[in-house]
Amino acid sequence: MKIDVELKNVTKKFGDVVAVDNVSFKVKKGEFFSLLGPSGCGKTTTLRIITGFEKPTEGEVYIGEKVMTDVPPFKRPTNIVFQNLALFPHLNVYDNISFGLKIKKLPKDAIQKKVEEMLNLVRLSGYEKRRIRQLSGGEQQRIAIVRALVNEPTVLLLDEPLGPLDLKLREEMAVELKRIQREVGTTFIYVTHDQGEAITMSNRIAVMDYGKILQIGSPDEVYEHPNTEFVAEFIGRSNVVKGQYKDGVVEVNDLGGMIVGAQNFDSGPVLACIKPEKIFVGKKLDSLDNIFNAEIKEVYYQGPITQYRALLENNSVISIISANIRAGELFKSGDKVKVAWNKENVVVIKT
Amino acid sequence: MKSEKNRERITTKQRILDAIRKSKKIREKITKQNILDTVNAVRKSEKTKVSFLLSHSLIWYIIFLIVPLGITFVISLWQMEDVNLIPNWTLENYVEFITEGVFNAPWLGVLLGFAASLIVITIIFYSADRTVFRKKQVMLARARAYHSHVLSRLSVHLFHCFRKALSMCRRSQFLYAHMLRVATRVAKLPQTFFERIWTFFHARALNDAFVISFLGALMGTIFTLILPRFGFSVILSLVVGVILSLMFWLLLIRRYYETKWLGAFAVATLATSVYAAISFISASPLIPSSVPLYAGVLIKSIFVSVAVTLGSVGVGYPIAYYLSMKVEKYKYTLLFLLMGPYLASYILLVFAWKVILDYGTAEGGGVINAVLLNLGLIKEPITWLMYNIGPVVFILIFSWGPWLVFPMFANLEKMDKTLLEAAADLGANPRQAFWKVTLPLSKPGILVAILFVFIPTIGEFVTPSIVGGTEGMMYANIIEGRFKRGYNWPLGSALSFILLITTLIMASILIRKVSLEQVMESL
Ligand SMILES: Nc1ncnc2c1ncn2[C@@H]1O[C@H](COP(=O)(O)OP(=O)(O)OP(=O)(O)O)[C@@H](O)[C@H]1O
Ligand SMILES: [Mg+2]
Repeated sequence: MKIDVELKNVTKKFGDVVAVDNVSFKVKKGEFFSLLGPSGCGKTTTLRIITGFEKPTEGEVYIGEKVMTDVPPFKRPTNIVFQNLALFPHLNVYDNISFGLKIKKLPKDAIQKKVEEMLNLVRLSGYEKRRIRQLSGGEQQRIAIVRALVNEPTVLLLDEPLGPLDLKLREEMAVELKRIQREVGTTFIYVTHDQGEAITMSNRIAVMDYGKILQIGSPDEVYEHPNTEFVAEFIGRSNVVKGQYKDGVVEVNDLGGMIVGAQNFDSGPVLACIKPEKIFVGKKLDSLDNIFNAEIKEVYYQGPITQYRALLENNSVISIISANIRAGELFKSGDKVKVAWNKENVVVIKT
Repeated sequence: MKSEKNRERITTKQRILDAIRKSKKIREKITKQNILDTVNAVRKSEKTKVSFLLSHSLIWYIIFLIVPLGITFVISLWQMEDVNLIPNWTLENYVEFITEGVFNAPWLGVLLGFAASLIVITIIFYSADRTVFRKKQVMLARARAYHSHVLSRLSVHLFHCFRKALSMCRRSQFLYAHMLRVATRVAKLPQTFFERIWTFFHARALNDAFVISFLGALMGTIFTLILPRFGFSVILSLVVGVILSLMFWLLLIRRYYETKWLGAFAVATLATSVYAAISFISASPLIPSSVPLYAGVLIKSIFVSVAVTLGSVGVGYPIAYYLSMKVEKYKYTLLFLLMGPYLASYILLVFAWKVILDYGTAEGGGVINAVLLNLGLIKEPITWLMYNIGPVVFILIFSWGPWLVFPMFANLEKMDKTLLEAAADLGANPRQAFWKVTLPLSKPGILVAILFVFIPTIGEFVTPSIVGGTEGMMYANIIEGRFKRGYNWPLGSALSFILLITTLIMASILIRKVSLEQVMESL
């Protein structure tokens, strides 16, 4: 498999701030790779290192299997869709899209053909003469993507391109983006702080926090088997319980033992993480590995699912997502219930 | 006082509440009528605002503009006898503008000659391109019908060439590429130098017809006005022009027409020969080397104004660019320092320059001359430093330059700097990014700067009167002379009025180049 982008032990410091901390990853050709993390964790900085706008304090950047650490941005085979789009306001749609091609001095008819193709791809044919100011947010978004894509970069970098859009448009554009990636087959590196977006679109996700990459894996790996508390909480909002592990059981203070799946651990302090949708809630529950008493505190009915927040006997709160399979089975605040989950659904993280 | 404030607060609150209530209502039932109503309401309020503003500015206009201008205009139609104004309605003062006096300026003649031939040739070629070649099929058919006739055959040929020349000007780059290859190989010149020249001429703004006529006019001027001054006889330069012209046309007919430039030169030399022939037949250059005084000085003032504008924008833009793009820490301190020169009185500054540049004989002259004389580097004081148009332009450029930094800086500051990163990302090197992004986006700032300097400089009066001497006199000095020394108020008024009209025309041309909204946004 060809590697399109590789970062080797890249560190970037702004004075005392360590924006990117010893980051290494490889992105394969044609992959949709996401950098996921909270605001200020160094995602944009990582992208800017790949495009060459920032020079890493340490480490090497490879693009298309060549060292590019010292190559200036205008000579790199990357293109970026900026967080604020940065479309040229003095040029119309056609001139914006053809900007890169004109600099490469392609013949006029070739440029025209490519621009038309690209506008077709994002379903904006006939928009050539429009000014940027005359476009809606979603249209500008698509033009920005196409302006980068038309240069046929080795890798396309997208910095939260759906950030400023409203929810519905975001969802539409996410589907659109995935379709575009499928059709052109370019490698995408996608930056977002929205875990839902990252999970639905990516082939692989790198979760970042404080400039470090915590975990890299396919969406289901990262979702089902988080390797740190941060990843567990950031993706899927797991319930995290502190305890002591011994022989397949996690002892939790004031709650008792929790059976967990066969995991080879030494005894010691651990965190047990359970995803809210993997918890059953009911008046009577049996034949499940872990069953506890709880009191419902908050109920959020959301149509297909209902979200509960319940108080366990040790006074810790857990959140539960329950599919509304049968009508009229809602619990009310104050109900005494049982909550239960299976041992395979507990992820144990050593601390 | 307090209660008034309170009341104000209450009314503001009330207004906000009303607005919210209104918007709620609108949200309840957004019908077409509703929207139209709100739009009309907004328009109405806007109208009242506008009329309010207008009433104020109208008063301002009447007091400071219309009344004095009206008086000027009325007086400009009167006459003066000894020291008495006589309300004797006449246009004589305006006639004097184009008849009176002699203004000797060979360079002006050359410039005017160039401008005139430029305009004429542009019109000819542009209209030829527009009309003749659109109908080429018809014309060719007609010519072929008389094909046996030698003359018509020649005309077909010529027509072809003419058309080729123009169409060549559009397309091909063959010869250029060849020249480039040869030149770079022979002279080991950097390729970019030629590329830059090429892109300049190739820029879309320069219409091909314009390029051709530009060259034509240039060569015409060289052959009929400049070469004779360097000892070539008029006949000799005419001969050179005709031979060159024939050569190019022969080349064209032999179909070495793969180039824009060959075509351009062919047409240009044709124009040259025509031009040269006319001035030869009329036994003198078409363009006189002297013009009526007032008109001449006005034209000279316009040229000075253009030079000062180009110079001061050229000085100011790099400073604005550097401050906005490269300096981070002391940006605003440096910007403030630019105000420094304006803390001193302008007259003082100009007199200081007089002290530096003067060449008075008794005192050994100004600083520069004194130093050079004392060092023994020169025997006689240098006289061209002072009392001509040079120091006027120089001082004006450097007094305007810093001032123009402000609008251009404001405009550059407003530019989104990620656009430059975007350009770099799309493959533009820093220079390309400058030409394709920064410069187009700073156009409004530059145009504001031009407006700032161009219009006041046409009427500039202080600088030329101190360092210009008689040779460096400008239009405003003449007006002053009419009012003071000549004591001819009507003529002075007429001259001022002509200046006003000129300025208005210039301003309107400039403003049409850019939308006012864009300009104001950039500030
Ligand atoms: N030029 C700079 N100078 C100093 N600090 C910087 C600079 N650029 C970024 N930082 C710091 O580096 C850290 C990472 O910034 P970065 O822009 O990469 O975050 P991000 O993950 O893209 O956040 P967001 O999701 O909000 O865009 C932040 O703490 C930021 O303050
Ligand atoms: Mg960011």
